[in-house]
Amino acid sequence: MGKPVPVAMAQGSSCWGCFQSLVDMHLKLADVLPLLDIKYWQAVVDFKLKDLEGYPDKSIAVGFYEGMARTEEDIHLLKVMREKCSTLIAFGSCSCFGGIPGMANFSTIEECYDAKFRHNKTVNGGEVPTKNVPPIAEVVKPNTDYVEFDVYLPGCPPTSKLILTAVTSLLEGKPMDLPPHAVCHYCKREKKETPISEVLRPYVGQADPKRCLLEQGYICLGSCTWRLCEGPCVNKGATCRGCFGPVPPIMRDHGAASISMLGTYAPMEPDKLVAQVKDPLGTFYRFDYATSHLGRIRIKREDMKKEEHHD
Amino acid sequence: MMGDKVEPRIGVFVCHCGHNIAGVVDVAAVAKMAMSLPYVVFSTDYMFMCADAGQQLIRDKIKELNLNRVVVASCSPRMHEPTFRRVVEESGLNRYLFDQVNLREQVSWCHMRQPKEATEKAMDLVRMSVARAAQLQSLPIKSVNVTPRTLVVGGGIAGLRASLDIAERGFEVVLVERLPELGGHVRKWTHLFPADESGAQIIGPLVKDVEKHRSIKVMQNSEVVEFGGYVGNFTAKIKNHETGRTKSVDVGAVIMATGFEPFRPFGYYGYGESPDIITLAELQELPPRADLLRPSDGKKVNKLAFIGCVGSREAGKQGHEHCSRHCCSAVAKAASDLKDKVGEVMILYQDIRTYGRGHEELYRLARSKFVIYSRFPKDSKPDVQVTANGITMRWYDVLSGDYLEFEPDLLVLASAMVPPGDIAETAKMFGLTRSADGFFNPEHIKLAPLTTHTAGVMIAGAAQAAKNASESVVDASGAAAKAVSLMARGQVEIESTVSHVIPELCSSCRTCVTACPYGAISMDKSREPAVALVTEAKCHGCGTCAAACPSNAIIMYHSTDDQIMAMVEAFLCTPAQVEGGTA
Repeated sequence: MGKPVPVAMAQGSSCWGCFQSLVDMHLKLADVLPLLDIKYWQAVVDFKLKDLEGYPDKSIAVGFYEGMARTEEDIHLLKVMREKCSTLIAFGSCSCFGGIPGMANFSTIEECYDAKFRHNKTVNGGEVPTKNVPPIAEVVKPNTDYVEFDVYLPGCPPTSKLILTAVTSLLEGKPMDLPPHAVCHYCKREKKETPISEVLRPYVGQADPKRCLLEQGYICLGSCTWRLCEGPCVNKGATCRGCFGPVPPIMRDHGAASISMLGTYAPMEPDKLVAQVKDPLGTFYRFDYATSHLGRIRIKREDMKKEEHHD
Repeated sequence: MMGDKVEPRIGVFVCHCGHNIAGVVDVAAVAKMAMSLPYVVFSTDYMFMCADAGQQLIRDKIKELNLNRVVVASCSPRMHEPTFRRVVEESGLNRYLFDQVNLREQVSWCHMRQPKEATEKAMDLVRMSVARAAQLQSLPIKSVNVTPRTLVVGGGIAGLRASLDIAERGFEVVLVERLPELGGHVRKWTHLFPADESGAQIIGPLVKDVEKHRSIKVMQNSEVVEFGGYVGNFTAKIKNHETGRTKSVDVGAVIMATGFEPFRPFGYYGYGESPDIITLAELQELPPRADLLRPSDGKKVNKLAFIGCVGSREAGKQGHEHCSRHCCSAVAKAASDLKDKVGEVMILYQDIRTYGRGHEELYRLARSKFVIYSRFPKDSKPDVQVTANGITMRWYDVLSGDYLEFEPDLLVLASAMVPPGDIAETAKMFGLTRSADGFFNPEHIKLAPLTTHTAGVMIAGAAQAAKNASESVVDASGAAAKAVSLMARGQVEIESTVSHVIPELCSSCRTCVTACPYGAISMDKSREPAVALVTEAKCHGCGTCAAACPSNAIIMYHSTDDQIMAMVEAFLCTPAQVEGGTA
C-alpha cells in the first residue's frame, strides 16, 4: 500500500444515511481508513469550507458528494467539490437522482413552507426562518444540472459492500466494473408470466415466498431497478421500492419505465388500475422524480415562471 | 446502426393537396413557422408534393442545400410514405431520414370548420415532426427470401379461385379444407344469382380444375393447427382429421378464404319451433325436386313466405349490426324461381338493397311474377306464431297502413352472414385483427383491401365481410395477384422499424414476452441467464415491448425514446419557452 489517497466527503441536503452506510463497514474500516487522507468531511473531521476552497484544483483524488443541492450553500459546495476533486462520485440516490428530497417537487416551495413552517402541526404561529439560513431554490434540480460526475453510486443508501467495492477499486486506481441488469436478474422467486387481476397493498394477504411478488399483485419495482443492492429486499419478502434507481444507462426514466411495465402485468380497466395504485408518484418516482421526464417538465415550468418575472 | 452525427439540416415541405389541406389550414403560415425551428434550413408550401414537380422540388432542395432530413407535411403516411421515402432515397438519403406529417386526414378533413385551430394543430404537428427529424437515424435496408408457395385456407369458391389463379401463374399452392369435400357453401346452393346457374354448376368445373392441377396440393379433412414465421417464410402445421397425422409445410404467402357461417336465428320468428321455418341457407340446401315440399310432412308447398334482415342490421347488437348484403338479391332470385312451383310467395322486408349488377333486374323479375313484397317497420318486426294448425304471421304493412296476416306452408328466414364460430382462434393463430362485425380486417379498406396487418397474409371473400359469391371471386383473384407478386419478387424488403434487445441490459424479467402481440420475442436460452431476443421479421414495430421494458433494454428503431421525447417536448414547450430550460 502506498501513500494515503486524498479524499473529500461533502454533504448537501440529505439525511447522512449514505455516510452512515460507509461507516457501517465496521471492521473493514480498519482496512480502508489508513488508505485515506481525509481532506474534508463536515462534522467528522475539522476542516472548514474555506479549507476545501483553498486546495489546488483537482488536488483531491476522490470526492463523495452525498445529498441533493437545494440551498445556495449546497450548490456552492457541490461546485467547489467538482473543482477540487479529480474523480467526483454522486454518492447515493439523492446525489444521483434527487432522491427522497426530490419529491418536494410534487409541491411548490410555498406549499413546502406551509407544511414545514407556517402550518406545521407541532408549531403555533410558525414562520419561515429568514436569519442565518442560506437562500433556497424554488425547485430541486438534480445535481447533474450543476456538475458532471465521474461515477454514480446510487442506493438509499448504497450498501456497505458496494461502497467497499467502489472505494477499494477507486483507491487502487482500477476501473470500477458495475454490472448492469435489474434486481429481477438475481431474484430467486419463480416467474410464471401470469397477469395480475388486482393490485394489492403491501399489508394485504400473505405472499407466496417462492413466487414473483409482482405476479401476486404487489407492486415490485425490481424489474426496473439497478441490481447493485443484490436483491436483499425481494429475497426476504419485501417488494423492491426502486431505491437504486434505473438500470444503466442510468439517467433513463425509472418511473415511466415502471408504470409502463405495470401495464403489461395488469391488463385491467385503466380506471380500476388507477384506483388501485395508491400514490403513483410516490410509488414510481420515490427516488428519482427530479431526473425523470415528468420532473424535468416541472423544473422547466419553474424556470419559465422565473423568466416571466424577469421580463 | 449508423451514427448520423453530422448536424441535422432539415427541409420542410408543406403540401396544399390542392384545396384538401390549403382550404382549411393556412399552409403558408405553417411553412413560415417551420423556418424558425431548430435545424430547419428550408421550408416551403407547394400545391401537390406527391406530383412529379413536387417530388423534383424535394430532390432539388436536398441537392442544393445539402439537406439530410426531410419532413413532408401532407396526407397520411399510409398514402404517400412509400412515395417520399423513394424520393429521398433517389437523392442519396436513407429512407428512415424522412418523416411525414398528416395534415389531411388528421387535420384539415377532421377540423374543416375550425380553420384557425386546424392551423394551430398543423403547426404543433410540424414542430413535433421537426424535433423528431433531428433525432432520426439511418437504418439498414433488409430483405428476406420468399418461399415460392402459397397456403390457401378454405376450399370454398374464393379459395378455389385463388388457388387456380396462383397455380396458373406457375406457383405452388397448398389448399386446406376442413370438410371432406371442396366447394364450400356455393356447392350446395340451388338458386345462385344473378345468372341462372346452380351452385353445383359453377363449383363443379372449378373443383375439377383445382384437383387435377399439378401445382395444387389439396388437403381435405384438414385444418391448420399451428402457424408461425414471417413474410416469405411461414410454416404451417396441418392436421388431417381422418388419419390424425400432422404435416408441416413451408410457404411464402397465405390467403385466408375461411368464409362465413349462415346465422342460425334461434329466438327469431319461431326458428327452431317448427321444421317448416328454415333459413335461406337451409332452403338452398334442400334437394332439388320438381316440387317444393314441406320438411314437416312432405306435402307440396302452396304458400311460401320470406322474411328479410334476420340477424342483420340490428343497431347496437354486437356482430349483427352489418347488412349481410347477399340476402335481398338471393331472396329475389329464390322467390322468382320458386314462384313457378308454388301458388303464392310473400316477402316481408325492412328495406330492399339489390345493389349489384343484374340484381335489380331480379327484383323486377320477382315483382313481374307477382311475388308480393310487403314492408314492415324497423321497430315493429312481424310476429310469427306456430300452432298445431301451422304457421301464422302477423305484421304491420307500411304501405297500406294496415295489419296483415298470412299462413305460409313454409317460412324462409334470410339470416345473416356471420363469421365462423372459431374465427377468434383463427385470428389469433394468423395474427389477424377483426372489425366490429367479427370478420377479418383488411390492412386498409381502400388503400390495402386484400392484405392484412400481418405481412404476407391476404384475405379473400366472406372472410373479410359479408359478401356474395361474385364479389368473393373478385377478391380471390386480387388476393392471388398479391400472393403471386410477393412470390415473383423472390425477395421482400422488411421494415427496419423493429425492436432490438440489448442483451447486456436485459434482466430476464420476461415482461416483453408477455407484452408482444405478435409472438416475436422469445428467450434466448443460449445465454445464461436467458435473455429476450426479437425475431426481426416477425416484429411489426408496434413498440409495445420497448414501452413495457422496465430496464430500458429494448430499443424501438425509428421510434426511440429520444425521438418520442423530442416530440413530446416540442409539443409541450414551444421553442421560445424552452429557452432558459435546464436540458
